[in-house]
Amino acid sequence: MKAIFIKELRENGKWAALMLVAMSAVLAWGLSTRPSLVGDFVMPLITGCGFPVIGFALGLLQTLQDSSPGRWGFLTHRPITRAQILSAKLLAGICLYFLVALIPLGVAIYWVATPGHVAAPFAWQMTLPRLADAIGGLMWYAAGILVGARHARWIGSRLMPAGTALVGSIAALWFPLNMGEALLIFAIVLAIILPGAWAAFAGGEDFARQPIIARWTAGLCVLIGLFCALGALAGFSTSMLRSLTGVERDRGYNVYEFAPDGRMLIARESPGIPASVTDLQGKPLPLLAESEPTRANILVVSMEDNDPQHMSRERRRDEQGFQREGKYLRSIGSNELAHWYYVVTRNTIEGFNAYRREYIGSLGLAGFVRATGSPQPFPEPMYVSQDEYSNPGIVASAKTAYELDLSRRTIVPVFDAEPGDPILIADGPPMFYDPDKWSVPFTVVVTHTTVHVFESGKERIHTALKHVFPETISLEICRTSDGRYVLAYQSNHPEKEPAEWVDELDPQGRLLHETVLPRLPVRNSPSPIWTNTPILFVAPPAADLWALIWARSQMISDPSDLPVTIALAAFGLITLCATLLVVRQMGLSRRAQWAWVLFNGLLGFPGLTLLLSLFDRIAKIACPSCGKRRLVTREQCEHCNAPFARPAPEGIEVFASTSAGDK
Amino acid sequence: MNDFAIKTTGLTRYFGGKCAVDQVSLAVPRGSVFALLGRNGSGKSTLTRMLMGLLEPTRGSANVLGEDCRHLSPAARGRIGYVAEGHPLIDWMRVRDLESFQKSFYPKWDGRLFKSVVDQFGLPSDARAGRLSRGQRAGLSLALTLATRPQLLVMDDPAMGLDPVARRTLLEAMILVTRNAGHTIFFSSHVLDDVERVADHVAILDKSVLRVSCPVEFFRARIKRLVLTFGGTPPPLPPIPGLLEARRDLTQLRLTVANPGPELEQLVASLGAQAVTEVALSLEDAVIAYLGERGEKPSLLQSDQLEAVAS
Repeated sequence: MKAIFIKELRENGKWAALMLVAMSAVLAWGLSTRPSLVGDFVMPLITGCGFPVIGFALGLLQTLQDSSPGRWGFLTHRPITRAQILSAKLLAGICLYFLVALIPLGVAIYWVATPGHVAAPFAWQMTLPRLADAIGGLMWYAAGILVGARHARWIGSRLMPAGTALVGSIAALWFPLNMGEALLIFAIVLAIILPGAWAAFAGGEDFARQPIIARWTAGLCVLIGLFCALGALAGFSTSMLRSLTGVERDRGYNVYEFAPDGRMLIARESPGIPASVTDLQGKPLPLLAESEPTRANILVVSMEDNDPQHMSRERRRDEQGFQREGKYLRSIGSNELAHWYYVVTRNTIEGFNAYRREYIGSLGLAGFVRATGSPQPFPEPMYVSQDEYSNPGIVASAKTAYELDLSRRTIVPVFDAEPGDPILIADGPPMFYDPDKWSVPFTVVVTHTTVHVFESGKERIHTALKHVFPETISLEICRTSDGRYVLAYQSNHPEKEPAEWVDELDPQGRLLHETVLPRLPVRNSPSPIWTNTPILFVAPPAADLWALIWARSQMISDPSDLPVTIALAAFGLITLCATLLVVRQMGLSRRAQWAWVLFNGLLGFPGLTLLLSLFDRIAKIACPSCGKRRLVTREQCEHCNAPFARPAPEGIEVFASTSAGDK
Repeated sequence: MNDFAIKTTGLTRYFGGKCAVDQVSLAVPRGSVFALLGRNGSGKSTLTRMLMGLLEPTRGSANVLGEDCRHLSPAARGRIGYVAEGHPLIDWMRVRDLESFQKSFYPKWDGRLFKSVVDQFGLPSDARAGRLSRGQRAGLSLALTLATRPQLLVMDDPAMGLDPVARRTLLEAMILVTRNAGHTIFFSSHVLDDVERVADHVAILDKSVLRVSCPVEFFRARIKRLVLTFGGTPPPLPPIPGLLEARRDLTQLRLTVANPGPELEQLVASLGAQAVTEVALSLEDAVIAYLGERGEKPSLLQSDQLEAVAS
């Protein structure tokens, strides 16, 4: 064991050193480009791709170097089990992997954490996503071992287990809310890949003779990879089909938009066709000049509850997912002198000198406190809006909203919520206001029952909130040049009337008009079903059936669905027939043959490709007894139970009783 | 205790639709030096690799030191020394690295034996395995295997590509093993001279089929060469059972036959030869006759050339 461990370290050490240098260089480049551990793109891309590449390469190297028949014999013919050899290999590989991953990552973390290097706060929790990426590389390492050790018909199907690691990486990127969930995903994926890798290495070349758990997990790995590959191929084919046939040009969507003067308009956009704008009566209007901001003086407020305890998991995942920057810190403004952040993990607002990259102080209930004091935390978690249409001029907890002036380093409470009516959201001012022309910066505080609009710290509008989530999805607020406010509640039910409720208020907050806007005739009309044919062909028949039934239930009538349904049924039948033919070539038991036919009835084409990827075709020869073709793997003919005939003697055989096995 | 170090029953291996080893049943007695012979592609390496558990048999079974070859235990592997075809080693390791690597798995490692074999092949301890000559690799491979003191030594064409000196050294090293009673050597080879020197049992694979498995002397006794001299041109040959090879020249027919018996004597007598001489065959001649194309072969020389040679 120890000798194998040392051999593996020495054999792969040079490759590991090369990877270490490469990873260090890429990390250094990443930090010079975007000096943050939890940035939205650079660091996640580097560690999210770099560690998997390292893991996969190490796994492949460790297995492929010993895979030639002679070398394999030299390595495995010794008084230890293959499982012990694999254990030593895995131990050495994991040690090397973590050396390659953690040394440059550790240096990067140390550099970011050292004051004076990055003009942003650091909390140890920010290292967790990158550490998770490093640990996630183990899935790829295991996939590399499985790909290298598994006997497969051709290189394409041999690579399929990498798809399982890919799915694991994507899942770990999107779904976890904390490190524990990420680790759970890694553990599940490793539990799927490792038994297959163990059996491929230690269990021999014949898949059918491997332990059942190893066969199931290896099969699942290959199936996931097949779904990835076939899905990508079908997706590409579908988009090519749509592009070549021009069906995209027939699609488009109509939406209600604010005009700068607060009027509601209808905008129509279609791929490849110039956008058009009409009033609500359908009269064409000239388009805005490109230089004029179309979202000027408009705030779009999400109507969901921002209290993390009441947030849906999907929203928490999108905004505060484990891999999202927003879980750790949110930028609330920058100027030429300082960068300001709300640090989620400490519940503080902290500023950093843009040039010296040093902590300059915090904003809190006691105002601005210089760097000599410790950052002052707020008593409650704060919500900081980070949408693309607003500037961070206001922050709020469930109880209190504060207006910020970062240039003056002041923070002023502007609103206290009534007991039992907590703040849903505080937002503003709009990103594109233009004080030289007609717009005025305003901020908004929305509670469960009221909407409050502030201008320069003073409340201008106070009106009842008419609709909340889930009835509405967002509230758009537009301030016109003459001081009126228009509030548009956008419906969250695309299939129901109305589309929006629009209230127009005068500068004193009195209701002038209340308009209910009808649903527009075409909103994202679905593509014809036939354009999805490549996806439908590789999807399981059960999923196809569900999709077609769903399309009918949604009243999506499509003249092509009958021919497509017939084609899919025919394809499913062909797949089943092919399965029947193929299972007979694989030498499987009758029970296994029917199990595969049933399985492929559910899985369709991917099931057939899985069958072809896992099993080798068994040769057949003519049975001298019954004349039918029989499998060479069976001791007796499956048709007539006759044993194999001995090779025909030629009269030259020389056998002595002492050295002939059964002669 | 089982009398056989290796025993196979109907051992078969297919690669796709091609049969590489066809229902081989043989038994290797303990303490024997057993040579497996055959032409290239006859299935020797496939058979050897199946015996070592490196290749799954398609059908049939094999016992090696009393254990099923598909599931050889670590203890059984510890008692079997295996030298694969081409002497594969870990090329980046030095001789001393390979010694310590191998030694760590075998508590009964014989360092003196290793050193003596290595010295015989003139191997420097700091040389990397990848830079050794073919003969040196063979020597190192053999030293690594012999020093484990195996009860059964299995070698797949160990003399392939070796010069005569290296081959002789290899043979001497092999003989070291057989000094211990009950230790068995099973090896495949193309070098029939070496086989004749060391082997006491021989097996021949002919196009995937086992045709011979017996002691060497038994085999030699069963292969005969008869030279039939005629007054003129030899008559056409009738079908002769067990005929391996027939060569014809101006006045002679040379027949090599397996398992000669009374029927052969009658057939020879019916040809009307003036004289029938039995020629002793070396193992090499016997095996070559055995492995060559069966039946009468046309002479490489034309009849006028033969007359010139005869005059």
